Amino acid sequence: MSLSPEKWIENYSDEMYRYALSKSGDHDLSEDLIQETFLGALASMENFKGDSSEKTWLYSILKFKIADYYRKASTKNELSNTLSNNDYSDYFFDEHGEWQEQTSPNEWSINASEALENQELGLILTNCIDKLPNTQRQLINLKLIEEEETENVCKQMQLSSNNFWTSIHRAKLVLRDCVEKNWILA
Amino acid sequence: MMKTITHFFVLSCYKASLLIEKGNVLPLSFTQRIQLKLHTKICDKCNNYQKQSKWIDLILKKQLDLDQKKLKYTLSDEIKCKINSEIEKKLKK
Repeated sequence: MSLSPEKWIENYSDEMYRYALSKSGDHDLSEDLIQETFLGALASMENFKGDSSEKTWLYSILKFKIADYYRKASTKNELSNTLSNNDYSDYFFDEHGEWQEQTSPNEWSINASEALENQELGLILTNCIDKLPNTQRQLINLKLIEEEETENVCKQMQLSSNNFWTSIHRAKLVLRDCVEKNWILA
Repeated sequence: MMKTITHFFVLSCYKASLLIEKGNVLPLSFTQRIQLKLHTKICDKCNNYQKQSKWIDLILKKQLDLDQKKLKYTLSDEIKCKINSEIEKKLKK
């Protein structure tokens, strides 16, 4: 296998852009990632061993760029903008780590299959996720990557880092609470 | 009081909900799974959280997928040109 960079844009750019978009839910970020991916690939062409296809190789670089972005983002201060670590746990949990009454998860009068089909719930969720800071929204989206890839990406990103998980946790707590507060059925 | 004792043996709700998020993405250890099972058996709030957290993920995933299908997004021509000129520059060298 050899590389033909002059055909990269024509052959892969739209497809890879959509892939990045599905992982990040963010157009500007996806454009940046695609640029970085192709330029990075260009700079490291001599590392291409030819044991995988050109496409697979380019995707592996893109996945690395995505993972790298999230790893950096999860340690950035931006994540603590809305509520600092202590504030967020105080808002949702008391000093024993038990739910605060006003933000605790109440039962929603709906079952699993209804939840997925319920349009109102879908709309509320969209509104709530729009209110989240960019990085939190992207972190949430990251969690939605296809099952078989998750472990891989997690390894690349060293997702075991507590920081990452508390960021995800915080974003989900805020999101869930927002849905419940805005939903009549809940 | 009862809840405090429970947390001593099992998990606090804070830790349980954090584990729920982790468990949605990565396999948990055997001990973690048992701890979480025990906790959600006795704690309605965390049981609700576990269900709802999963639903939220599923709905968002569905929305993302629909989005992708509805709009055949393409990379802007501007960016394509920019990358292509970089590629040309490099290949000429």
